[in-house]
Amino acid sequence: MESLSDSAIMEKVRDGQVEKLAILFERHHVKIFNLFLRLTGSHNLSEDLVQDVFIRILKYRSTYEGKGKFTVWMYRVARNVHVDHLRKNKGTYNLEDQFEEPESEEDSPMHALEQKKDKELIQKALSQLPVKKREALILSRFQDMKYKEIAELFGCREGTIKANIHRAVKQLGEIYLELQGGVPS
Amino acid sequence: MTCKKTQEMFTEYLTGRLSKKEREEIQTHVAECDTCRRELESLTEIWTKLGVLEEERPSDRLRTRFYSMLEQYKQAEEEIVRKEKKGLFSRLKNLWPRKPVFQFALTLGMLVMGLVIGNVWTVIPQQEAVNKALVDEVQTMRQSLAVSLIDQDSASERLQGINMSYTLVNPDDKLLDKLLSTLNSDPSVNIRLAAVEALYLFHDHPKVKKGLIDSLSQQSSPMVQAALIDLMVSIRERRAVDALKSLLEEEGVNPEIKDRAEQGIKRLSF
Amino acid sequence: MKKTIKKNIQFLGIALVILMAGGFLYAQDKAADKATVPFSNPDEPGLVKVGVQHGSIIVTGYNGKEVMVEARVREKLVKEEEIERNEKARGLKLVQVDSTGLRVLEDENVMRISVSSSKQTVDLSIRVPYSTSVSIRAYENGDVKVENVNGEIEVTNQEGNIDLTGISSAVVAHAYEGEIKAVFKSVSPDLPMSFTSWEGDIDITLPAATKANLKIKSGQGEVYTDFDLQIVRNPDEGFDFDSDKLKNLKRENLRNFYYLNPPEVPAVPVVVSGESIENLAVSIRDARGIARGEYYDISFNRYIYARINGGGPVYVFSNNEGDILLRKAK
Repeated sequence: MESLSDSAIMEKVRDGQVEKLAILFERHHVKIFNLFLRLTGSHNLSEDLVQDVFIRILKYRSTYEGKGKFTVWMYRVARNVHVDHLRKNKGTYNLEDQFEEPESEEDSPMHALEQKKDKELIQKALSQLPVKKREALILSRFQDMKYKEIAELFGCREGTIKANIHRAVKQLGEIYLELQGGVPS
Repeated sequence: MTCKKTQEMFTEYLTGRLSKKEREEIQTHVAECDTCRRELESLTEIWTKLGVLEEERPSDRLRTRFYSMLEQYKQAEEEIVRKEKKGLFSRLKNLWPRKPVFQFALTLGMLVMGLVIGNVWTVIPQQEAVNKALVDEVQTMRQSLAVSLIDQDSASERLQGINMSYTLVNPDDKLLDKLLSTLNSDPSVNIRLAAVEALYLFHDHPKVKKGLIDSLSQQSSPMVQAALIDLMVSIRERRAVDALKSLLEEEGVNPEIKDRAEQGIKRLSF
Repeated sequence: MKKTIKKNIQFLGIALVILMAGGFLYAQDKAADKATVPFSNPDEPGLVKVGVQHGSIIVTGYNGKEVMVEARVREKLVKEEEIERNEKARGLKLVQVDSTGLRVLEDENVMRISVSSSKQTVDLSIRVPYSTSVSIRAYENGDVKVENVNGEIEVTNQEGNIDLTGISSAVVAHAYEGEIKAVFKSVSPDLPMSFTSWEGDIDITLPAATKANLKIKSGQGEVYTDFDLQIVRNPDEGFDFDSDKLKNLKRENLRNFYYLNPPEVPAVPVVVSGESIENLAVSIRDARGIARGEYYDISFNRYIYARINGGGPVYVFSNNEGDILLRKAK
C-alpha cells in the first residue's frame, strides 16, 4: 500500500479520483470533529459540521492548488463552515443540547458528576469567548497547530496570533471565574 | 528581562515551545516579579484546566453519512455528464431560428447544470470531469448557447447569455467577438455594461485588450465609459493611455468622465 | 475605502408621494389619438416596443387581450412664432395639425408603437394584457411608469424617472438623470436583472424570500438595505498583483458567482503588507496604495458581491451618484 502525503491524495481527488477522499476522511475527521466540539460544545452539531466540511472539500476540489499543507487548507474550509453556521444561527448556541455526552461507565457516580460539571463549565466558558480568540486558542491548545500555521490560516502575523492567544487565555480565566460564582477552584 | 518581554513569551511557555534557555529566563524573572508571576500562574491554571476537555470520538453515524455522501457524489457526477450531453443538443435546436417573443420557459439552470437530477450537487464538472473530450464538447455547446442568447430580442436573455459567458473557461473567438460587438452596438446600456464586466475575465486575450481600448472612443454612455476606464486601470493596461488622452480632447464628453480619464492616465503612467 | 452596508432602514409612517414630472394630467379639451390593436396570436404572450423622444409613457396591465393606446400632445416644443417662415408663404396661414403621429405596427406578437415627438411632447398611456413584455425608451420631458405587468420589462429613460409597480418578472432598467423605483410582486426564479443609473437613486423592493446574487456598485452614494446580505469575498479584487495560480482561483470564484445555484466559496485570505483583508467586500485597492496606507479614489470602486437567501440569478445595481436602496417587501 502506497503511503501518500495528504496533499498528494487531495490532488488525486481534485483530478478525478473522488473516492480517495475517504483516506483523508479517515485520517482527519476525528480532529475536525474535536475542533467543532470545542468550538460549539455540541456533539450532534459537530458531526453535522464535519459532514459539511467534507462536502465542501468535494465541491471545491477543483480549487485545491497543492500549495502548502493540506491541513491548513482543510482548516480553512472548517473555519468557513463554522462561520457560516454562526451566521445562519446568529451566534447563540442552544445551551440545552450542549452537553449530551455519552455516558461514562467507569467512574463512581459522585466523581463522574464532579468531572462532568467541571467539563461543562470550562466548555461553557470557552463557548463564550469571542469567535476569533476561541478559534486561535482551540487550534493551538487542542489541535496542536503551530503559530505560523494559525497565522497563515487567519491571514495575519504570527505575533498577532500569540497576542490573541494570550488574551484569550486571560479572558477565558475571567469568564470561568464568573461562571463559578467568583469562587476559585 | 523586562516584564513586557516576559509576558510576550507566556503563550509559548504554555504550549511548551520555548528553548531551555528561554524557559530559564522566564523562571528567573518570574521569581523576582510578583505581577508577572501571578499572571503566569493564572494563565497556567486555565491552560491546565482546559485539559479536562479530552479528545472525544464522534458517533458511528458520522462515518456512515460520509461514505454514503461520497457514493452519491460519484454517481451524481457521472449522471450530470451524461445528461448534459443529451439535454443540450435537443434544447439548442429550439433556439434557432430566432424568435421575436421572449422565451419565458428558458431556464438556464436546467440546461447547463443538470440541477434537475434532484440532488444536492450543483457543481459543474469542468476540468475534473470523467472524460476530457466530453468536457470540451460540453463547453463548446454551452458557448454556442451563450452566443445565441446574446442575439435575442429580450434584454433579459441577452443578459443571461453574457452571464453565461462568465462560466466558460476557454471561450473561443466567436464568443469574444460577440461580446465585443455587443459592447459596441447593443442598444441597452445595461447590456453594454454587462459586456464590459464579462470581458474583464478574458482581458488577457490580446484581441480583447485591443477591443476594449478601441471601444472607448465608440461609447457615448458615461456609465459604460466609466466602466471601461475602471477596467483599463485595474488591469494596468498602459496602452489605453492614448485612448484616454483622446477622450479628453473629445467634445461632448461628460466632465466627470474626463476627470476619470485624467485620473486613469495618472494611474497608468507611473 | 471600506464600504459598509447600512442595515435597518427605518420605515417611518410617511406615505411616499411620487412626484410626476411632466404631467400625466392634461387638459380635458386636448384631443387624444387612440388605437386598439390585438396581437397576432392573442393566446401567446406578446411584446410591446415603444419609444418617445419627448414625453412620458405609462403602461398598465389589464385583464384583456388587446393593446389599447392613447396618445396626447402635451405641448409643442417649437412655438409658432419661432418657426422660420418660408418667404414665399407671405400672406398664407401656417397649418398645424394637432396630431400625435401615433403609429402602431404589429407583427407576429411584436407590437411597435411610435409617435411624432421630436418637436412636441407626447404623453402615451398604454394598456396591455398582463402577460405582455415591454421594451420602453424615453428621452426627455417625461417619466416612465409601468404597473401590473407580468412580462419582462426593459426600460431606458434619459431624463425622467422610472417607476415600476406590481411587476413579477425580470427588469433591465437604466435611468440617466432620474430615479429608478421598482416594487416587485414576485420575481422570476432564474432570470437575471440589471438596474443602472448615473445620477438618481435606485430604490427596489423585492419579496423577502427572493433568492439572488447581488452585484452592487454605488460610486458616490450609499447602499441601504434591510435584507440579510451574505457578503461574498470580493471575487475579482486585486487581480493583477497575484500569481497566476491565485488569479485562476479568483477567476474561479468570479465564475462561481455566476452559476445559478452557487455553492459557498472558501475565503482566501490575501495577505498584503502583513495586514489581512477581512472576509468582507472591499473596494479595489492598489497594492502599493495599501503599503503606503492610501486607498484608491472612490471613482474606482468595485462591486460588492453578496447573496440573499442563499443565492440565485445575478442582479446588478450600479449607480454613479445616487444611493441604492434595497427593501424587503412587507
